[in-house]
Amino acid sequence: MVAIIFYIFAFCAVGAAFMSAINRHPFYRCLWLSACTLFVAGLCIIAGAGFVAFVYMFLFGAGFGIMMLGAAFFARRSTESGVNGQWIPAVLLTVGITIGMIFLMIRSFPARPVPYAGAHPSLVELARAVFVDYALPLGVLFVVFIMTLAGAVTVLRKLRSS
Amino acid sequence: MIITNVHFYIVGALLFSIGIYGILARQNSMDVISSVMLIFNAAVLNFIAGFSSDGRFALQGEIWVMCTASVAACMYVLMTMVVILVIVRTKSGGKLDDMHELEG
Repeated sequence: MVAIIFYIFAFCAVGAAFMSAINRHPFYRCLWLSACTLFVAGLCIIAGAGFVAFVYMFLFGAGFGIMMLGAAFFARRSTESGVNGQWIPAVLLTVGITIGMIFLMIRSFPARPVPYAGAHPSLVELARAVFVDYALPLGVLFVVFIMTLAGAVTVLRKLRSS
Repeated sequence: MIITNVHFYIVGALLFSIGIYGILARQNSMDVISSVMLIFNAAVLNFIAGFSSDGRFALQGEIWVMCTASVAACMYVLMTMVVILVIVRTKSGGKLDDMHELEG
């Protein structure tokens, strides 16, 4: 039963990603990307990481709101432009990367079963890891995030002053 | 049938490849950023599957996903900045009262 759900979610995720890549209208592209993220979160739940799927959906839900705002704003000018001139090499490279990666993964990685909702840490263990064990690396990441915010504000201030 | 980590890796590889196609072939910057989001999806899937298949490291997998989510949040800040920048340049200095419709 879990295998059937996995295959349905995997097919839907890849299909939604494909539709997101080829669709010309930016708003529909954002909707397909949202669907892809939804199915990837479902795959995370199948792998037993429900909390991560929740956090992922929460963050990306907010992000897709921003994206849809931008997509609606860019809608008129973006439908006039689709793919650029290098789309044929891009397709060839994509097919090559896909075949190479799948071949490499089947040959190189040992197939181990993914436990469904088992052997996963509780929220207490996860919180201890975030705020105690991995506090320094995550703190560095948050500094990067603050620097991104500061850069965005700086660029906007320069734009306003010019 | 048992679902293994390789199944997740293959789905992640397909998502990654589609994201690479979007980065290389699309013209608009918003399209490229959405393709980067596809690559983030692939990375999250690989982290979860790779660390979950060995039960001892499931916690590390979730930590890595949080790191990926932080970088994705930075990408959303970038995207918001692109939207605000275009609004400021095209809509009379970005005054909210002058924006009546959601189109360029």
